[in-house]
Amino acid sequence: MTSDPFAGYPAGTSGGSITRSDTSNLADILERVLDKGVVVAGDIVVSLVDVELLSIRLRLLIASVDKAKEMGINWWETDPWLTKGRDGDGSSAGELSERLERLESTVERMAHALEKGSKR
Amino acid sequence: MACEPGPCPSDRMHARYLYAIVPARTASAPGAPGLGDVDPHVEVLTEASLSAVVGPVPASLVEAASALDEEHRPGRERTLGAVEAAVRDHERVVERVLERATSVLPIRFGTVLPSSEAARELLGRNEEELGSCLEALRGRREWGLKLYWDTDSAEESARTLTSSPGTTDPDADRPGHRFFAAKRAELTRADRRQDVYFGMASALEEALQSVGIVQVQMQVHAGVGASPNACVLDATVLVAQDDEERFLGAIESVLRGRTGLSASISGPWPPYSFVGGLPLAAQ
Repeated sequence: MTSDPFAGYPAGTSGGSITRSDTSNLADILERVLDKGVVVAGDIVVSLVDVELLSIRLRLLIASVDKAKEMGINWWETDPWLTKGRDGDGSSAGELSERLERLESTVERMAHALEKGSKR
Repeated sequence: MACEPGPCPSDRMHARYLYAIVPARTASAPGAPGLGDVDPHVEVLTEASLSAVVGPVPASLVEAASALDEEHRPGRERTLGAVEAAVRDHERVVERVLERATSVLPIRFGTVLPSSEAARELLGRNEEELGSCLEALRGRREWGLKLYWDTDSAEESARTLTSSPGTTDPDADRPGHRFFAAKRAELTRADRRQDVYFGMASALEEALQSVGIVQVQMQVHAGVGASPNACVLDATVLVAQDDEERFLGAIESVLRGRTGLSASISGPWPPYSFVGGLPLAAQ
């Protein structure tokens, strides 16, 4: 069992000088496993999922539409993949709101990358 | 760029999903659990001085690929659910490897190789480079650090920065001038707030360097300030386990004397952010 010098600190992200969160936050996981880590290039890789495209679409999907529009991103409005199957079910609102707080900065970084025409 | 179709079921049987690369015969400490119990479906393939942690293609990944398929379009919630399950499965395995290995190279999500032999060839072809990277990461873990600053406190800190003495403006009573003067004052406050945020980031960097922690990736969100308790700095830090107490001390030193500033620490993470942009040659 590995040590954790921060184990005594309270969980959460506010209310104290130092708080501690574990590695279960989806936004933190996505930021790492989709964008970082060792990349294996070449034809040897079996393509089940286009990870680059998934990374971009997923972040825009769960980020604030208004925030993305503010940055000039609105291509999903005419993307058939994203317009079909959309539901207005309020039960997802709380979950999406939480993800929004985590991913706004990531969306902004990706917006700049898209605008400059660069991708990782 | 459309998603390519996945392998047919018979090919999928031989395919191997790659989670991480570790030194061969790795163990975190005598008596520590080995890699064999990371997951019932995970196996370890060894080639020379390296081992690859692989498994069959996860069902969650297949479902995520299907959900993203243009022809099916199951809907946003199901797609999100499928992708979330797949990425959590990936991370769970890599974290368990981190608990058991002296050093870990986490692989990016979604890496599928056609066979175990292909995985071994990958290790053999890149042995030197991978070995160097593993050695550099030995005994180190990644931590996430977010700093939040109460907006009123940040504004107060900004106000204490040097400001020019008040001068009498002969145009002050002109309506148009009042509007632009207010706008100029707002911009000045934003500039000062930005200075405060970057000053804080510099203080953090210096504090970490003073305890020997130099591998830091940092992003300052200087444009924020609208929300009451905004995240003003996002950082990932690579810390040797022996230095983690000093890491904590460095954070405390930055918080000290800055009213309204708080920190949230996440981790330990596998060192995704510090693999040095290591693309592996597969052929």
